[in-house]
Amino acid sequence: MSVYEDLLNLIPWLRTHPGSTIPEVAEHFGWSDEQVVQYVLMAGVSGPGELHGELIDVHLDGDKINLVDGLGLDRPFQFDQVEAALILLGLELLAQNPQFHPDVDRSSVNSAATKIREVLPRVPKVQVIPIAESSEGLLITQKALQVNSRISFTYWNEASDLAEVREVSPRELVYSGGLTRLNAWCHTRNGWRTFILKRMSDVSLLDEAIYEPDTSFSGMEFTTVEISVPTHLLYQLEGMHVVSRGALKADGVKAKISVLEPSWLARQILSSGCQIKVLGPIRFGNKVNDLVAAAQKPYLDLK
Amino acid sequence: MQEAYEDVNPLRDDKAERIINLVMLLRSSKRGFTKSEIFNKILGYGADLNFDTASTMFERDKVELQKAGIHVDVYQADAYSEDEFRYRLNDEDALLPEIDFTEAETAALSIALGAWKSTIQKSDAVQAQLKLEGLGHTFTNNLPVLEMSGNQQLSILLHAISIKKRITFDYLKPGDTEPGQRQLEPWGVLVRAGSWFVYGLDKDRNADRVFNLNRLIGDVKMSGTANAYEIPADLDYKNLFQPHFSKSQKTVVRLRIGENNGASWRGLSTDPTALEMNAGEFDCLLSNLSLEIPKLAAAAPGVVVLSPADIVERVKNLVLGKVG
Repeated sequence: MSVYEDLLNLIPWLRTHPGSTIPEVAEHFGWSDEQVVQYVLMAGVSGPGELHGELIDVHLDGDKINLVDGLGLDRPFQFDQVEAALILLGLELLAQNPQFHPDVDRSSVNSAATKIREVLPRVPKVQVIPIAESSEGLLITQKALQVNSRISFTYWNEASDLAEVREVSPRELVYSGGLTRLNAWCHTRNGWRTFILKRMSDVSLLDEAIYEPDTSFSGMEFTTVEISVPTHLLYQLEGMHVVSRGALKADGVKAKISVLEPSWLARQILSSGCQIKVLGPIRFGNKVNDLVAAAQKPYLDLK
Repeated sequence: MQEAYEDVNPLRDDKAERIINLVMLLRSSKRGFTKSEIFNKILGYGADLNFDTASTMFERDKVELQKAGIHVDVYQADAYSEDEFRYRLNDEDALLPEIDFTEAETAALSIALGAWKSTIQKSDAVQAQLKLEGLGHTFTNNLPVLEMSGNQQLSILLHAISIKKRITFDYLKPGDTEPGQRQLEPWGVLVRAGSWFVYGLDKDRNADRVFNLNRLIGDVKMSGTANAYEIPADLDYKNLFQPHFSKSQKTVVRLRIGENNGASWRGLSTDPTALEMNAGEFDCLLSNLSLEIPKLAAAAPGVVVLSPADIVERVKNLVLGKVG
C-alpha cells in the first residue's frame, strides 16, 4: 500500500475513533509507532494550501492523536476495482457455500452484496462459478460435526488410484484451492488427515463418538522442495502449493513448493515429460527420481 | 512519552506529499483547477519543472489515483479555450458514501474479506477492510475456513475491463509446447474451483473466448486507448464457459493395469466387469486426449498404455523425457 493511501485511510479512521493513541493506531493498521507519528506529521502539512484552514489540523498530545479538522475528509475514498471485486467475490463464495458458516444467514450475505454494489460507480465484472459437490456426503459430514460422531466413507487415494474405506473423527470442513476439504482424525491411518470431499463416497454416520486426540490438528508434514519449471509448463504450478517463485527467465522459473509425498511429485514430473526437475533437497529428490525410474521401466521394456 | 515521539524524523516522500496535496486541492473547489493553477499551488510539480514535464507527472499521478479508485473529473470550462480544462474531485463521486450494515451483514463481510487472507490479493482485501472501518464498521479477523485463491493478473485485468482497453498476452493452449500471442477485448473475469479465467472477444479469431489465467506466460499488457470497445450487455458467461469444458471424440486405448492400481481407469473400461477385477489388460474409452495423456504418463508404472501405437508413443515420450 502506498503512503498516500495509508494517509487517506488514516484521516477518516481517526474521525470515527477520536482519542486514539499512537499504539492503538499502530496495532490497528499494522504500522510501527514511528510510522504513525510520521504519518501524523505528514498529514499536518497536507492540504490545498499553506495557510491555517488550508491544512489538515491534526496533532499529537502525548501519545494521543487529535484530529481537529480533516478538511472534510470524513469518509474514505471509493473502492478501486480490485477491492470491490474481492468483497463481491468473497460474498458470492459465501452465498454458494453456506455450509461453512451456518450461523450467517444467506439473506444477509445477499443484502451486504447489494449495498456494496449500490455505492460502486462501476461494478466489476467478476463471478464465482459454483461447483457441484456431493451434497449427500456433505450433509452427512455436517451432521457428524453437529452431533460429534464418527463417519466412514470410501476414499479415492490419488497415489494408488484405489478406493479404500476410512473411518474418521471429523474436526472441520474448510474450503481452499477451490475444493471442500475435511480435516479429521483418521482411525484407519491413526493420524490427522485432510480429505477432499469430492473423493469421498458412500459416507455413513457411525454411532461412535468422535475421538479427541491429545495433539491438535497440525495437518500433515510437508517438505519444501525446490523445482525448476520450463516456461511452457508454468500452468502446472496451478496444482501445486507454491511457497515462493522466482522471476520468469528465458528457460522458465525456479519455485519452492510444499510436497507431502515423493510419489505425488514423481507423478507431476512424469506428466510434464520429465521437464520439471527437482533441485533439492537431495534426499527427497533421490526418492522422487527412483520413483520416476520405476515408472520408466515398463516403457523401456515395451517392444 | 511526548519526548520519545519528538525524536521521530518526518517522513520524506515527495510523491506521497504531492499526491495527497493534489487530492486535497482538487476536493477543495467545485469549480476545479487548471493545470497551471495546480502546478503553482502544489510544490511537488515544482517551479523548476517546465510545463510539459509537470504535465507528464500530473497525468501519471491521475492514472495512479484512478487505479486507487479516485477518479479525477475533467471538464472544459471554456469551450473556446483549450487551456481551460479544469480538474476536480467531487466528494459525492470520489468518497465512499455512508453505508449502514446490520450485524449479520458485517459478519458476512468479515468472512468475505478474510477469504483472501492467504492470497496475493491480501493487501487489497486489507485496504477494502480499512475503508469500511473508516466508515465506523468493525470486523472480526478469525482464521478463515473459506479461502479463495488469488491471481497476480487480477488487478490489470479488472483495470482493463473497467476502462475497456484491449489486452495482449502470451498463451499456451493445452497440447501446445510454444505459447502464442493473443489479443483480447476483455469482458469479465471468472473463478471456478480455484482457477481464474478471463473472457472476451478474441481479436484474431473474431470470436468470444475463455482463457485460463494459469496458461498465461508472462504478464498481461494493455494496448490502445480506453473505451475502445463495448461489453455485450446481456452476457451469459455460462454459454461462454460450457464449450470450454465440452467433451471431445472418444478413443479406445488398451491399458495394462497392475495389482492394486488404476481404479479410475478401470472405471472407463468397455468391460462392465472391469471394476470387479484387479490386474489385467483393459480397453478404456478416453476423451480429450491432450488432458488424458499426461495423466496416463503420471499413472506409470501401475498403468501402462499398450495400444494404439500413436498414443503409446506420446505417453512413452513423456515418461522417458523425450519431449521438446
